[in-house]
Amino acid sequence: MVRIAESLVTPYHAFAILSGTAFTAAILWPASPADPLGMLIRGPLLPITVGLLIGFLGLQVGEVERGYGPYSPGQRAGRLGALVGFGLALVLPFLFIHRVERGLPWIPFAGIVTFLYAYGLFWALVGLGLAAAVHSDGLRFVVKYGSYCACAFALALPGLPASPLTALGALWRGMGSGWWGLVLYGALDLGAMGAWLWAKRGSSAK
Amino acid sequence: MTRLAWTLLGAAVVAHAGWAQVRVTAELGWHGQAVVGEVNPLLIAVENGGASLLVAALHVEQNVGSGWRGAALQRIRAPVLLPPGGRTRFVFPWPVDAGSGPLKLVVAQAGAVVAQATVPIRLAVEKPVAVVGAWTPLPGAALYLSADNLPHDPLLLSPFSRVEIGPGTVLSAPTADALRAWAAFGGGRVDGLSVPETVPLLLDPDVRRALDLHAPRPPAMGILIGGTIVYLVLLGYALPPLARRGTWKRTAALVAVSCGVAGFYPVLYRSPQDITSVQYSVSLSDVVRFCMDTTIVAHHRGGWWEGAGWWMERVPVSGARVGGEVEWVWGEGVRTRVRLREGATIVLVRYGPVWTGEGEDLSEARLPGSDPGFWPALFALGPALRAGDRLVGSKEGERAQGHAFYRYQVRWERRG
Repeated sequence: MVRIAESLVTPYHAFAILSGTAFTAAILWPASPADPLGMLIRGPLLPITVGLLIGFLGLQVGEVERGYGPYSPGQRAGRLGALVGFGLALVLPFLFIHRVERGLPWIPFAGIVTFLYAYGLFWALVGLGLAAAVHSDGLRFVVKYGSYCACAFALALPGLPASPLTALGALWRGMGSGWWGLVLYGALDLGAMGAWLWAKRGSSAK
Repeated sequence: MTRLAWTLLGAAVVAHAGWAQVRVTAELGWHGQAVVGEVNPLLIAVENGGASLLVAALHVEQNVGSGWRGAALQRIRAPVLLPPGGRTRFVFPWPVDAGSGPLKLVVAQAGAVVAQATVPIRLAVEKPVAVVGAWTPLPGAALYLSADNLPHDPLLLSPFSRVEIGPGTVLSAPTADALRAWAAFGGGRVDGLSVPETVPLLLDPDVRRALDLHAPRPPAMGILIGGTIVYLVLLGYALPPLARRGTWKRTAALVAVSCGVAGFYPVLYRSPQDITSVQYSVSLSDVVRFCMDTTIVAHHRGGWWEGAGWWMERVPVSGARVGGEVEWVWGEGVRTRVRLREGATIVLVRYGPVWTGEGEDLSEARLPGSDPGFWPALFALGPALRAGDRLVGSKEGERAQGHAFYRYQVRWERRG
């Protein structure tokens, strides 16, 4: 039987409700040409909001998963992937309809959804790692959210695709730089997960 | 070392000789003077001095305009096919504005540059009078041309304020058609040739209002907002059992049904278009070959708009250029491509092919009762109609992928 920790119910709820709010804003915002704020809200705001939120959700999932249940490292990795995927599935209806309403082609849409998954999984791995490495709650809080805000907002200033603001905005506009963000997080996920599983296997062999 | 130096020197000489085999030269504007704010003729000559066939591409590029009235990058990509020793001339319509940079020309064969040139431009503010087949001294700026110099394309007459045909000058039929179209559609005055009365232009505000009629559909708000609320409430009931008992079925069913409904949504509501184009074609019974096409384009996502023929942006007197990049490329005939930013609206004009088809009689159409799509044409042409004149109209609309295209064709049949 697969279950989620009770402390994750609220983060999942919050994630779905906030994403639903961004979706509602995108639908309700009146269409008017040459209005930059309107173009943002009706356009890439929803994927960007989901991107920022799924990062936070990933951190929560990773932290809660540390020490939850008697799972092997391989099962734990599978659960992290499944829990992030579950979060994304909760908001997929919003993303599907938003794609139709804004006429986004399937390829950039697939890029956006894959980026969201890779980005969420990356922060779930970070959350798991921080829970294991930093035992002080206060310090963990600072490191967790400090690093997250630095990645999400500070990296957006020079326009680096490591920030979801930049990458998702670029994917939305069909610009190639967004795909580099996807490649980056895909590689980081595979690398981090591979290194973690390899280290765990090594330590259990001793 | 010496051998290497000689080899490099030899290679440089051979390369230079090969380079010089193809020559490209250009001149912008009538007699090399480009009139600011008008479409000028761009004359390009390519000469193949080599011993082999030249199959190449001609690239022309210029930054036109300035920050004051908007800047754009204009490009032409045209194929060039020349036998050994051959020479060819192209004449392209080319919009010129104050603050434009020099013209850059490149002839490239299989990706390698075989000739290039940078041509400075000489700008003039005053529109000259073209005097054809006569030598009449005029007080202002004047250009003296022979009948053979006159173009077959009315667009190339844009830099002139007036065309004066000397007595006894014989014009070819295409030249006379171009002059009549140019005069009839407000290009300028023609003396010495019988030309139709000038037609009032479609006004920008009217054309822009027509765009609102063809705006993308609004979202199905009631269904979407109601559906979102129901979904989030049901999610509130579905998630806790997942944590307490590990029962996935309810949550999985809810997410699957919601995704299914979202997947079915485009069947009920098609995606709104990315580009809306509304084209007005005004033809006159006494102008053969040409009509005046005015197209308004709105790009809702930002990107390229593409259309057949030579389209030029109509920049309002107190406005600025909208098209950031304009390209004229060859495929099946020439095509115009304009890059627009998200939400931008642009008005494009051209001399199109005359419309001679059947349509509904709009002569008696009253504005509140008639199809609002025709209103910009009725607003402009209606007051100028005389007793016995007929206005015939036809409309069509089509959608190809994300481009919704509407065309309103109007023909003014003048009495007698």
